[in-house]
Amino acid sequence: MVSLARKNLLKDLPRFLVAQAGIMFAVSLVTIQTGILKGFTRSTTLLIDSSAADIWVASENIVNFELTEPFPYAQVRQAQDIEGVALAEALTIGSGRWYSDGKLTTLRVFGFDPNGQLFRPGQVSNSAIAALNAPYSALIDRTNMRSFRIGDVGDTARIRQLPVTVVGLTSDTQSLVSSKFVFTSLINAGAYINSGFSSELTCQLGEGDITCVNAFERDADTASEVAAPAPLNADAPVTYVLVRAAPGENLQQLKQRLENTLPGTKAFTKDELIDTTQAYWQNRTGIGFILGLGAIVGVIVGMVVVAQILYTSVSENLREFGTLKAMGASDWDIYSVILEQSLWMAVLGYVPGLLLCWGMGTWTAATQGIVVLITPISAVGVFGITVVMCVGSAVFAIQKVTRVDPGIVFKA
Amino acid sequence: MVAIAAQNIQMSFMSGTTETRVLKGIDLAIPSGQIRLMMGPSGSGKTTLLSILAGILTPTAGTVQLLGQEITTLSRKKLTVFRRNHIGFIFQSFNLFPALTALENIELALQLKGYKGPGIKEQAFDLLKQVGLGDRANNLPADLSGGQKQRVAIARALAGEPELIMADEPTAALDSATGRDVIELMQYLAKNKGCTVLIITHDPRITNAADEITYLEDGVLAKQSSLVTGLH
Repeated sequence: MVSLARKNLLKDLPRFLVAQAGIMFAVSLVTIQTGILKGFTRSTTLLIDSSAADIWVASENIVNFELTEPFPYAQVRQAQDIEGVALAEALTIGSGRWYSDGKLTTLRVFGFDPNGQLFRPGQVSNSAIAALNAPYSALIDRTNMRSFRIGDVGDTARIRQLPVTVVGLTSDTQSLVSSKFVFTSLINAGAYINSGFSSELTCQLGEGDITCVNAFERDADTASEVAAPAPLNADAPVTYVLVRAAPGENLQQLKQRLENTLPGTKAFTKDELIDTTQAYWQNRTGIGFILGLGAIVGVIVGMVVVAQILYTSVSENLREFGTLKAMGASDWDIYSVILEQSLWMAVLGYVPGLLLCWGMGTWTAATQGIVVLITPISAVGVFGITVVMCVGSAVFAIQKVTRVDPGIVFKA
Repeated sequence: MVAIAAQNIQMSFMSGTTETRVLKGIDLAIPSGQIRLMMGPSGSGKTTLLSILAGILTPTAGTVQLLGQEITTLSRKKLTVFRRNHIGFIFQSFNLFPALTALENIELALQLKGYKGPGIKEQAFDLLKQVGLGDRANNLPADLSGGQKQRVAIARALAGEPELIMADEPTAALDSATGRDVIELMQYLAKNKGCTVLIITHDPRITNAADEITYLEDGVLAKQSSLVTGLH
């Protein structure tokens, strides 16, 4: 069958290629913006996603995964005794400063039990995790090696006044909106977070509530001798209790029991904590809006490019469309030529655009740690947007051809 | 049998508040199988009349019957179908699709008329051979001479074997010899296939190809003459 649409498109190859470049640009803009939004959103919850915990217990004042308040380590032990809890482990999160080669980098310390089962810091070997049992050892994400000025495993630096040895490298952990992540044992984390400070946690029980005050006092800036980190005591601050439910346990009921037993806490299933955190970053910050706006600009640019190309093509071929009308082509026959043109433009702009984004995404993830997330669903979604963009643009061209005077065919 | 009949065709155009009467009551009857030339000076209303007779324009007043079918009362959709099934067009500027080869131009016309399947290419090629361009099937219009383009246009007009051929200045863009060749070809094919042919022309060189000539002047028929010494 003769495809007038395809032939018309390819008639002027340089112009066609310029048009396709425009569509490719629009597709890339939409894909990258949505990919960054998805990648950024996903990055904020990578650590939750990779954990084996069914329930996360946090302070009732939690705002998002990293913005919450500590509670005493004793509550982890309490949680372990609650009916329906198969396993309870602590996770602590704190801030710090990384010194290497005289340069300073802010960091986020995650302390977990290296011998535990519920928290796993990304893609990392078991031996590297086991190595965290050593004092002042840590894992870092591969994408942060340059920021931390770490060349290889075994390199050392300082967190505040304390030494740190990198005992392993991990991946797929870093949030795009956070300071650089460092993973270590609970004991090491306690030392790093409180390094430079001495703290005293005072808790009082009154009318069923425990009220705790953690008082910090700054130590002297230089420590002449580094002692081994102190083991965790019952008052040590932790950020989460990670819970694995007993087989067959109803998670909502278990959450309720945990909140009732551990005053001042709020329990989340894994998905709930992911949703809460992602919603915070998407809605309560302007990031989702800005990236969404970028994607909309991409669609508008694409529509303008396609509309302009199709409109020009129709204008140039007006006599041909008039001829088709005179020869007895129905309106639909003519519209289908224009729509087919727009669909070809959509497909031929989408495929290289997506490949370009995939290549760029791979590069940015490897070199910058910025994930441009292109999932099969988002790829299909962007294709749908591209088709709508191109077909929508065809409407302008169709209006032009609808108004064509068939008498045009008799003009010389 | 009368193939093309028109009664009291009138056509006016409004330009601002000014009404211009282009056709002022045309009566016409063209028998089946006839080749009819319509001649007249520029602005006499020839092309407007052709557009009305072909169902492309609707007259301000009057009726047109093609092959016994009153077309002035048909809906736009039915007119489109009528044109597709019964009329072949030949244009002064050929109006070939520049992105399609000679063969594809004819294939497209056959497609429009509902022809499908692998035989369509063969049919298109047969038509090209009939106009002597079998060896130019894969050439784009840009690679053909004016005469060759008009031959392709004739082959396209004959696609689907329409009963009526309407041609607007088919030789105007051609030199004398080529124009004569084209008209002879049209005459030969029309007679062979039993088509009724209406040709609008200024070209006095082709008058002897016609069965009859109608003269139009200032929107009215000036005179009509029958020729007995045509080329056929």
